Formats: sequence, structure tokens, C-alpha cells
Amino acid sequence: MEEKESERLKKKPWFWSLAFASVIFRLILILFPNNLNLASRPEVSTPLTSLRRLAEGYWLKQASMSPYAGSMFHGSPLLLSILGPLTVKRFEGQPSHILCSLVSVIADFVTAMFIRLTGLNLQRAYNQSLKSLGLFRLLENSEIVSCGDIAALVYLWSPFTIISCVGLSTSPIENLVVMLCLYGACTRQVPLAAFGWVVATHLSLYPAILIVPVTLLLGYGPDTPPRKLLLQRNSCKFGDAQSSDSSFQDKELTNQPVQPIFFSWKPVVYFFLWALMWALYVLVLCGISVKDYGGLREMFNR
Amino acid sequence: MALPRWMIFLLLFLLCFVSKSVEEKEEHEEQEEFSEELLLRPLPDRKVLAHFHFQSRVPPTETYGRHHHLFPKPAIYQLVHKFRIREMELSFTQGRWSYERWGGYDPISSNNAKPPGVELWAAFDVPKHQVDASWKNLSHALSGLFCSSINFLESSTAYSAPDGGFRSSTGNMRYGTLPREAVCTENLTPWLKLLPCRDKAGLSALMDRPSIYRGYYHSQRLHLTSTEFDSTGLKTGIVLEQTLTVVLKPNAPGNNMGYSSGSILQPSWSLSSLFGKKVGGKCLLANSSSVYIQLEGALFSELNNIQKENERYNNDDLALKGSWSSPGFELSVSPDRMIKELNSLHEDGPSVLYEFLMENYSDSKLFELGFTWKFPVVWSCPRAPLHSSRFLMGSGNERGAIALSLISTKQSEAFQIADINGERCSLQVDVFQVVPWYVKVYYHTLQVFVDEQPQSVPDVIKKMHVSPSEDKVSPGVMEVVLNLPCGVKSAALTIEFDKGFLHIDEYPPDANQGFDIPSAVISFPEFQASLNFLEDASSNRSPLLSKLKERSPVLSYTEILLVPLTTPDFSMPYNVITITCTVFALYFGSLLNVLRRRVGEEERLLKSKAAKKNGRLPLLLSKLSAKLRGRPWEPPQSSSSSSSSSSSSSLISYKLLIKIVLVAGVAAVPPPSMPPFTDPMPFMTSTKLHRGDLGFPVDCLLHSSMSNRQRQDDDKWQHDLYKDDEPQVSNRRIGTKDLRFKLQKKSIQKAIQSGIGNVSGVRDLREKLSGTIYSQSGNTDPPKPKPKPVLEGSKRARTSAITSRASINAHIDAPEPETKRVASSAESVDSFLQSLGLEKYSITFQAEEVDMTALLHMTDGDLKALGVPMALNFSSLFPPKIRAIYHGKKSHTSTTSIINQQKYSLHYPVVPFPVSFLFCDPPLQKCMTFSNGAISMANMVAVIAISSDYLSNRRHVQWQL
Repeated sequence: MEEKESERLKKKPWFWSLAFASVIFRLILILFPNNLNLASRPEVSTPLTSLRRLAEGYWLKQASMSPYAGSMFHGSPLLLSILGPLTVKRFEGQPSHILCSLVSVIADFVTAMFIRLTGLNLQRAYNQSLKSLGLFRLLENSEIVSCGDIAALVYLWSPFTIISCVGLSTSPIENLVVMLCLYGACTRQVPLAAFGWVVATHLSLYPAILIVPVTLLLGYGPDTPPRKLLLQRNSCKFGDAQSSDSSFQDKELTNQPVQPIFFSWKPVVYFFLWALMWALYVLVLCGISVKDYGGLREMFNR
Repeated sequence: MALPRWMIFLLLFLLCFVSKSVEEKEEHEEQEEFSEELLLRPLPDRKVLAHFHFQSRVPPTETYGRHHHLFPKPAIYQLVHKFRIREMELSFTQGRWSYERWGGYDPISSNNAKPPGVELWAAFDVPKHQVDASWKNLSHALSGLFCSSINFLESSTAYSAPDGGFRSSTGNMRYGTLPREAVCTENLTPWLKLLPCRDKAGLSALMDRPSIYRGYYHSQRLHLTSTEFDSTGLKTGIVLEQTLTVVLKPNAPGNNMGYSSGSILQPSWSLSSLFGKKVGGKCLLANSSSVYIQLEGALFSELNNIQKENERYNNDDLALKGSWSSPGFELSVSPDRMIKELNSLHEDGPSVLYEFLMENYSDSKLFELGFTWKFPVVWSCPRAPLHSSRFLMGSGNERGAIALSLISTKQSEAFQIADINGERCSLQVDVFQVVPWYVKVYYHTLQVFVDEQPQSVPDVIKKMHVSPSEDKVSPGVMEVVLNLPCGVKSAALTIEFDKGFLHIDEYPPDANQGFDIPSAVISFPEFQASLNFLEDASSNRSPLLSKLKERSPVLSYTEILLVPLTTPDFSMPYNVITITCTVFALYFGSLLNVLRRRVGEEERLLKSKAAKKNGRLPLLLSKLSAKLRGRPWEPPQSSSSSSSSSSSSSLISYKLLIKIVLVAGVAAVPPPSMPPFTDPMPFMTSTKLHRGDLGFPVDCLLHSSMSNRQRQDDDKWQHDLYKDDEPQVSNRRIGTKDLRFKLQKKSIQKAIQSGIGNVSGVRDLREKLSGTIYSQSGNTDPPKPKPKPVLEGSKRARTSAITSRASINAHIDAPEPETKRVASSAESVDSFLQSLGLEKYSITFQAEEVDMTALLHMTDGDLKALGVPMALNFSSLFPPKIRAIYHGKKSHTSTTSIINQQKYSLHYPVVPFPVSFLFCDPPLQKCMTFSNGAISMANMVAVIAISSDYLSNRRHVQWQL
């Protein structure tokens, strides 16, 4: 499968060229930001995601004050300690936001890569299910459009993501964490999914509802073959028994059908345990970072 | 008052003057002290600074007690004790002190130059958690005391707690300003009331309101220092210092003689020209009272130079009698003393004070100080090392930046040179800036420019204390200690901000004017403004001089900034309301118009054609036949009616007939929720009732309405139509009419007396007759659109509708039929009453000489006055026409509930039949009120009439249709 994919990649250099083009486009926009003045648009950088407010919060923290004093900063203290130093550092002759913009460009690119990997993963699962059905010909003949590539390109070239990347907002990082969560769920890497979910929920509350799809993904596996397909396969098992190449295939066919239908509780339980652990970890980190300035309570107040 | 009395007592009875003075002095050691002083200083820009200084001191309570002679006990003493004030300063200022021209480096400018509006700061001697509460109470108390809106400082968004940046304050201090407060005489009057002599005697008598408020700058200040609560240290009691600083422009009486130097002679002035008043001695309660004229160092040295130059020309400018001459100017009164400044820091030279003691003057010997210049002099005031100004940058309603620029003055260079002796050459500048919360400052964007070069913040800023603003809770405070290099030419601080949004009720009335950012306070702690005057024994006594001697940091206030914020715009809801109303009006208006206008035209067309072509013969024939039958004309089926109408007027178009039938059909099965807008006539329904429903002959009952109908001038067509036959009918029936009418009324009256009230008797009668239970069904039934029974080809219903309209419209103006009617019924009121069963009241009516004419015009009130019981609802007993007049007299619209339902007997041209209608049913109130507007739009009288009889007898109507 990997070989095939790499071949496909070679066949499609357009993906990479487009991806890099989008990155270069972002960089160009970053280098000429004065005309756009996107950072001040409330549509782009909300009070929650504004990097300017984050810088203010960092400054207040450096001035040994609570970063939440003055009702300017409402974000996470983790973000403050990660991005904060970048807001202060400035190159010679360059505006101070360059570094942060670079961070968001990188975050965007990584997010796109995760989207692509998720897409590949899902495709692989689809192929597997096709294979398990014995539809090899279908697999070989049909030129399956790589959904991951397209999704990644859509993400990279979406004007909203471009604007929020250029407009000094922390939303690329939030996107990255959300994508991390989904990727972990698709690849059944429970700790990664839990981490992504916890951090995304911490940064902005609304990804909390991702718990539903993530649980389903973990429970049913990346690509649940529809029940009908399985029934169909079972029915055609008799007819195709002779035509199938090997007995091993047959065995697999006979053994497999029951498995994916059932919801597997194990990864879900693991996920919740991991999520609990990560949440505790994040809270402890936050507590340490805001310990001197009123503690966690103030963080929750904001 | 106690003191002079006491003095008089001494004078009269002890008669020992020497001992008195000694005693007085001794007593004053431990007594309250009050002193008044006035300092006058010519300013370089041809103005004069007048600085009143009143100080009263009370010894500490422990040693002195609580009884006061001079000190304003209720106002200040209690204030101090209640709120445990350690120090407090309140200033009302109008105008802006010009630091360049009026000086920025002397005690007066440092202490008395205040930001426009109200500034209040106070330090309390209470535990920290009570400071805010004390501040709030104090602001309220002062607000009442000084007739101003200081109570706005109560809200936590209005005051701040400076931490070292302002007057080296401690944590117990609060500071608040109201930049937009207007200062007026009503603030000055309570301030003057704190003085023992008010403005009646002494120096305060100079305070002529117009001349004070005409000045360029006016600052009235109250400073309070109390050591009452100090556990340690010297106890001086409470010191109340009241100052009034005014900058006035003397009226130059045309002495602008050009001199060779090209400069213009400064205007000469005198106390009376400045204030319009003269001083008649001191305030008797004052310990010391004196007037000073201060010449600044620069001026004095300039004058000395001039003197040296001019010595050879005018070696002796002999003084006039009573006047006193100095090198460059002349005083009309010779000063008692001249005090020279000691070891001045200014390189300009020492400044000079001329003192005039007010003790030497009295009412008979007024003190009139005149100051006349001899030579044109140009000098400049001592200025602060850096001139500060503040401005806004950026545009738009979203964000901006505050910039504070400090530009070095010439003098500061000299200071720096002097300062170099120190180990480190730097110039310390303290900036104290309060920003309201809706200006959200990004403190990390603070940038410092020194000599127009951006500097890294930590290099320049030695110390920075920030308390960021919290939305709707507290203002932002920034206290910065700048350490600028010595040779600095200019320095600038910029800081960016976002503009916040206020809640709609937080906007001031004039929101579009903008919002004020209070002045920043810039102080130079390394520079002390003080004037060390030559000590002598008596100068110790002058509080003003000791105040001038006090070392205080040079302080200056910046401009007030005006920030435009987004203001709420109420045009949107207004537009919505307007558009909605317009749509409603257009929709319903046009709907009504269409429904009404078209049908009316059709009718007119119909009528004219019928009248022209066919004449009235068929009509008359049908009427006649109906009459002959002696029964109400029973309308045929709708098909037959259409056919009959078509037969009667063959020229009526087929289309029109279909329309009429259609509308009639729609009306016969009316939609339940539709208000009766389909009625072509002015919302008046007329229904023919089956004659059997009323158990008596009603054909003649309608006779009175016949005569009503005659008066319809506005409805010409109807008038034309019935002009001919009506008189005959009325003439014929005139004899029987009244009787029958009365009969009917009798039955109605019975119904009324049975407690049904407004519900007219006819309905109840019919109810009884029909045996059905009538339970106000008219109220619950949805209004039925009245089709045109009216139209149905023949014109009879129309006539009734018009008649009813005539009776309802209060514009009935025809006296002629009325008189006719009166004549016919003029036999007596008695018979009328008799017919009503009210014979017992006939005597009353006779006594009041009420004839039938007068009866018609009587209202309920009149009848009540006659003693007729109102339970009878007498007015409803009147015939319809009378009713119409009656209601027209009262009001046009509000009587609808009274005439809830009224039975009218309308004369039908051929067959008389009862028509009942009402003005408006309770469920119709809505459409009534609504159609009021609509009809008035259509220039009609607002009337809705719908017959609840019709509603209850729909069967008949359908049948009729």
C-alpha cells in the first residue's frame, strides 16, 4: 500500500507544489501586512484569539502582574508561555509579529499534513474493507481520488485560514490541536487523540463536542464498513468462494465479518483515561504558570 | 462675631489697650487663626495674576476642644472627623493654565495650576479596606457642600488609587477628576461661606463675580491638612487653606504708546480696574491681612537694567505725593515692606515682594493700589524644565494612541548644567496618567522616543507601575518614572489603545462630543519650586509666604484629551418604525380605498343609470306593493334579487351584477376573523329583520328616521332618489308615529329596567320572542363582513345605511325637520312621559319648563339634575334622531359602548322594516380603533356599525340575500 501511495504521490506532484505555494503565499502576505491591517479586524482576531491581547497578557505577566488583569487577555496560560516570548522578541528592523506569524504558518502546514495523513488513513481502511470484500478489481481499476490531499489543499487555500494565519490570531494553533485529536482517533492512537482533545478544549471550549465523533471513531474503527456491505459480502461468499485466489482469503472472510460491527469499548475507555490524565497535566501546567498571580481560579474566571 | 464683641467688651469695660493687645496675642497662640492674603503679579503677556490665599487653622481637638469661633465646623471639621481625612484637596478650575507664559516653575503654578474641571484627591487615615467607602462618602458630602457633581467620582470607574506617582502618595489616597465639570458662582458661594467674613469684608470683598469669571483662568481650591489622627509628630490641628487664583487682563486705557524699542508698554492696572471694587480694610477676624505684589526675578533684573540705562536721563523721577516709585513702575500706594528673595535658584535673579498691610486701611480709607508702568518691559516667566503636551494619534473609531511629548525649554538646559554636578546626569520625570476603562490601553505597546530616536523601554523608564483598567470596574492607571538624559531636547511616550464600547445607558447626554481623558500629571521631583524670602520676624506669620517657601516638586498638568467613541445611533429603530407604519398605512389605506371607492362609483353609476333610463316607476311600484301587503318587504333570493334588479335596471352590466352577487355570497358566509371592511358604506351595517321578530308593527316606527334621511346633504344620490316620496310618507304617518314610537320605547324601557343595562331592549324583546338564549353573542362572534345587502340591485338597504349614518354622524345640522318633529310632538312633554310610564316626573319637567325641544337637547347630566333616575338610561329612550344629536353633542367616538346596541326603525321606502345596528361591538373595538385612522385617512367619520342582530339572525340575512 505504501508503495502505491508513494507512486501516487509521484504521480501527483501538484499536491506538494500547491501546498508550498500556499505557504509562500502566506509568507508574502506576512511580509506586507501593513496594507491589510487584518490583525485589528474583529472577524479575524477575536478577543479570545487576538495575539495582540496575548502580548499584553504576556507583558503584564512579565511586569509581575496577573495576565488577566485589565480584562484584556482571556486565553490560556499555556499559550501565553509558548507564544509570549515570541511576541517580545524582535529582529532588527522587522516588526515583532513576524515570529508569531511564522509559528502560525508552520502550524497551518502541519495541520494540513495531519489532514492528509488522516485522509490516507481513512483511504487505507476503505481499501482494506474493499479487500476484505474481495473487490480487488474495483480497487485496482478505480482511480480513487485521494481525499486527504484535497482536504489538506482546501484547508491550506481556504481564505479563512489564510486570513486568520496572517491576521495574528491564535486560531491556527487551535486548528492544529483539533486536527491532532482527529488524527489520533483515526489512527487509533488513543493518547494522541486524548491529548489533542484536552488541549483543544482547553484553548477554546467548543472542541469539547468532538468527544462524540472521537468516541465513535475509536469505538468503530476508522472506516466502518456499512452493514449492508458485509451482508452482501456474506451472501456472495458462496458464489465467489471458488474464484477467490487463496484459502487464506477465505478464512479471513469467514472470520472477520463480526468484528467491526460491534462497538469496541476498550479504546474508548483508554481514551477517557488518557483524557483525564492529560487534563490533569494541563491543569497542573497552567497552575504552575499562573501560580503567582491568583492561581487557577482567576484563569477560570476569565 | 464673638470675637469683635469680646473686643468691644474689653474696650468698654477694661479700657486698657495695651493689655488687650498683649492678651490678644497670647490668646491667639492657642486659638484659631485666620489670615487673608492677596498676591498680585504682573504676567509677561500683559495679564495680571491675582492669587487669594485664605488660611484658617484650628488647634488639635485634644488641646483646644470642640468649640470653634472661626473654623467652619459643620462643613469642614465634621467632614475631617467623620471620614478621618489626613489631607484633601479639591479644586474647581476653568480655563487652562498657560505654563509657558504664566510660569511653570514657581510655587503658585505648581500648587495652584489645576486641570480644568474638578480635581479631588484625598488621603485617609483609615484601614485600607475602608478607604473606598470613605472616599465615596466624602465625594457625596463634598458634592452637597459645593453644589457640584462631585458625586460622580463615587463610581469606581471614576477614581483611582495612585501609588507613588502622584504627590508621593500612600495607599490610602484616592484621586479623581471630572474634566467636564463646569465651574460657576454656585461653586464659589459655598466656598466663600467657609470664610469667617464671607465676601463682606476684607480681601474677599474684592471677589466681584463678573470680573472673576471674566478672567482667563480661574481656579478655586480648597486644601485641607489635618493632624488630628496622627499618633506621632507635631500636632498642628486642622489647616484649611483656600485659594483662588485668577488671571485677569487689565483694561488698557489707551496707553499703547510705541516706544523706540517697538515694544508696547504694559497696561497699567489698579485693584479697582481689575476687580471693580476696592478694599476697605481687613477682615476683622483675620490675624493678618496683607496684599503683595510680586515681581519675578527676570522682571526685576530687567527693571534694574532699565534703571541703569535710564539713570542719566531721568535721574530723579520725583514721586507724587502718596505714591511710590520704583525704577520701572510706579505704585499709587507705597508698600510697607519690600522682601527680597534669598539665594534664588533662578539665574534671573531674586524676585521681589512688596507688602501692603491691610491693617492700615479701613472703610474711610480705602486701599486702592495702582500699578503704572513707566517703560515697556519684556521678560519671561520661569518655566518647568520640560514643556509637556499630550495629544492623540490615529484615526477612526476603533483604535488610537496617546502621545505625551516633553520638549525641553531653554531654562531647563541651565538647570541641567547645574545638575551635572551630581553623580549622574539625568532628569527624572514622573508621569501619572489615569485612563478611563473604555480606552483600553495596551501597555506593552509603550514606546519611548528620546530626541526622536526610539529607545528601548527599560533604558529610559526607571520604574513603571501599572494597574490595568478593568471593564466597567476601574480605570487604568499608569505611573511611569522616566529617567531622561540631561541634554534631552525632546522626549515622547506613545501608547496604543483600543476604544471600547459602552452600554447604552452609560453614554452621557452629549455622547457625540467625545469622551475626556483626564489630564496627566507630570512632575519633576528633582526640581523644587520654592521662593526663599528673606526671613524676618514678622514674615513668619504670613501663611502665604511660608507656603511659597515650602519646597514642592514642579508639577504640571497636560491637556485634557477628547476621544471620540462610537455613539449609539437611534436612526435604525426610527427607520424601522417609520417604514412599518408606512407599509401598514399604505396597505390598509389602499385596501380600504379600493373597497370603498370602487363600490361607491359603481353604485353611483348604477343609480344614475337606473334613475335616467327607468325612472322611478318600477321602484315605486315595488314599494307600493310591499306597503299594500302590510308586511315588511321580504327580500327575494339573491338570484331573484339580481334578476329583479337586472329587470328593473336593464342597463346594469352583467359583470357588475356578478360582482355584487359574489360579494354578497362572501358576506353571507363570512370569514370568521375578517373585520367588516368589505362594507362599502361607512362601516355601517344595516340589516333587515324579519318583521315577525318584533312583535309589533314597526313600519311606522321608522318614521323619525325618515325625516333624518331627508337631511342627508352629503349623500346626494340618495337624497335625489328619495326626495320625492319621503315627504308624503312622513306627512301621512305623522299622527301615528309618536304613539307607536312611544310604545316601542316602553317595551325597551322594560327591558332596561330588568337590569340588562346597555343592551338595548329590542334585542331582548326579540330574544324573548324568539325564545333563544342570547348571551352577548355579538361580543364573541367574530365580526362579519357586511356585504352589500345594500347593493343588492335595489337601493333600499342603501338608504337605511345612509340613514343610520346620518343619525350617527353628529354633524346633523338640519333644524328644519327637527322643528317639524317638535311641532308634531309638541302636544306635551307630559304625554311623552306618560307614554314612557314616567308620569311622576312630568311635574319636574314642567317646573323646569322643559318643553319637547329642550328635552331633545338634554343630556344625561341635565336629566340627572332634574332628578330623573339614571337607571332608566333615559337617553336611550330617545328616538334615533335625538340619539344622534345627543351623541353628537357628547362625543363622536367614545359613545360606542353606550350605544352598544340600538334599535332603529328605519323607514324603508316601500315596506318599512326594522333595521338594527350598533356602533361597535366589543370584539369590534379593535377594528373600530383601527379604522379610525383608516377612515380619517379617507376623510370619513370614524364609525363602525355592525348589527349584532344581524349576527344573531344570520339565518334571515342569508335568506334575504
